[in-house]
Amino acid sequence: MSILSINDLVIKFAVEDGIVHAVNNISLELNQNEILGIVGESGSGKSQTVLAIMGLLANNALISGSIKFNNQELLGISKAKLNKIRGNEIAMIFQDPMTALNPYLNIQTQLIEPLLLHRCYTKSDAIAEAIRMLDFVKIHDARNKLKCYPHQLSGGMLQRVMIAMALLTKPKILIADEPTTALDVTVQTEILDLINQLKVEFNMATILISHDIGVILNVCDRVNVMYAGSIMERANVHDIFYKAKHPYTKALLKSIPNQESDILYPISGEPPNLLKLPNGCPFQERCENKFSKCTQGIFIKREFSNGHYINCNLDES
Amino acid sequence: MILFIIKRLLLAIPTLFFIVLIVFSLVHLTPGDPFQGEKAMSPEVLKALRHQYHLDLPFWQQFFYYINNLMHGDFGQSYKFIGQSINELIFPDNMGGFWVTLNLSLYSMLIIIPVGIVLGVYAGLYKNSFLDKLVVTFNVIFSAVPTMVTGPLLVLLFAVTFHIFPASGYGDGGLYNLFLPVMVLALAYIPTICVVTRGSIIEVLNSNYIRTARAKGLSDRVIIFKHAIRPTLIPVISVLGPMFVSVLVGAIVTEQVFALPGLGILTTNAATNRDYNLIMAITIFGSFLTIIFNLLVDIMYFVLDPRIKK
Repeated sequence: MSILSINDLVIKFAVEDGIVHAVNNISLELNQNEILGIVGESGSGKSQTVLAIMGLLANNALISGSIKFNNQELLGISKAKLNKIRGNEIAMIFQDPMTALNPYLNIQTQLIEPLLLHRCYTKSDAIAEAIRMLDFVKIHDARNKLKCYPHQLSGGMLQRVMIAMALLTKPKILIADEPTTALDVTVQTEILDLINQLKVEFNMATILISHDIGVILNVCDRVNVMYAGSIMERANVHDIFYKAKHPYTKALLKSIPNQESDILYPISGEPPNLLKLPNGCPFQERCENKFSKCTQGIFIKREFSNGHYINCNLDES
Repeated sequence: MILFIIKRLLLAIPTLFFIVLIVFSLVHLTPGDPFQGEKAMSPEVLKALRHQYHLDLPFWQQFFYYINNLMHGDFGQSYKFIGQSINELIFPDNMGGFWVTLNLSLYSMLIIIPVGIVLGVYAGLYKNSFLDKLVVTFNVIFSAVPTMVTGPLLVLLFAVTFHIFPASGYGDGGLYNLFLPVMVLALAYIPTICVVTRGSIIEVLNSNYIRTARAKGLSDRVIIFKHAIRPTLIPVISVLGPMFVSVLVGAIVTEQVFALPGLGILTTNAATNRDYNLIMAITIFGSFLTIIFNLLVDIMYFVLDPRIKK
């Protein structure tokens, strides 16, 4: 059952040089109790998509389409109504835990804020709950950590604090925007394990964003591959890994470094300028399978069995 | 915290010593002495005067006398107002000298700080709005127009044309007499505070932790007053310290325009009269204030920023 559905979402930014086409007409569904991955390189629009869900886009964003949470439209609702949803039913954790927490307030003040705001807890109840949650995310000596300021904790610890803060209100959706990018590899594994565990314990849907397809394949149930503001391919993890149809997904999988071979397979070329996207498929410049249709502005969306979806002119069926 | 303050105060002693040494050397290296010039004096009188003020002694002995007096809180005698001590000139028993300047500074700061911060915060919150553009224009104009222009203009408007406030004079030192000079200082210093506050809050509101606060569903009011105000104020405090000092050591032009008998007028008189001791006293007193205010700024950082605490 879908808990969040995005339809024909378009996000543009008006800048001095023109219009940046950050997200171009994407649709996706998030089901209860799944981890949905969004993978793509920098500037592919994955972060902007989830920031749009949270109402956190920059002021110069122009946005159209629809984002429905439990059949309630989120685009264009009042700030007061949105504030009842974000941090409460939809929570988000960010890329850089070192800067995502306020350096001027101690952990306790920041941690209990959602409970006081959304759940009307008393302060002492909120503190007790915060300690329980810090224990759950495996922070030792939680009671003393509450009195710490962010600069006194490590990056991995801060990301756990962020996760605890997001979970306190038992949200229906957790959005994790590159939660492990700023952390070292061992800490990354621990945080990903934690996110995996949450799905079971909290009965919650998760959107996980990463530029690292390895991270996505390890954790997610279904994967969206984004490129230059479009969803190129979507399928469950198994199909993405073994039956990828889109040339971009294939190139992405091929580019994963591999211990048996010394050769790296980068995707040649550069992503298109979002100020002037080519007509049709944005990947055409770098695509190995490019043919006449691709340069004529044609960009076909196709759906196969098992929810496998691609946005490509190549007929792979 | 207390250890930190004591350490800073101890460090201030050598700093002050070197400032005194430099000021003393510079003043004594300038050609001419206070008794040369205007009035013709017989060589005997001149010699007696120079002897009385130790000017006939070698440089290092003069310096030793000076330092010794200074340590007893004595800035020495004035060369111009014979028989008056510098301490009496700067800190007189009746209203005058530093007390006038202090009074003027306190009134001014009471206006500059809140108005500057509030305008800056509003301009930053509503960046690129009409209000913001108005504030930015105000800042550009009044940081460019000097007090020697705004002073006479305000006098022309409020004193000459409308007869609301007196054109000059200290009177009883109340706000009625000081209104115009306070306005001149406010117009001169509000832009600095305002620009710094505006830039600071814009930067803070763009920071990741404010995005986190928004993602939590906090209202704008809570975000500003609980999450954004402290980091916004830190750069503002660092400009407030030196600003307060620069007003406290005498608003030279403003005091001239409004004929206020404060430190500013003493400074100009000391310079034109080559009143060595008075020049040195004002400079050293200014340095002392700078050290004290820098310490106050650091204490404020200590209170506001948890990262500075050990």
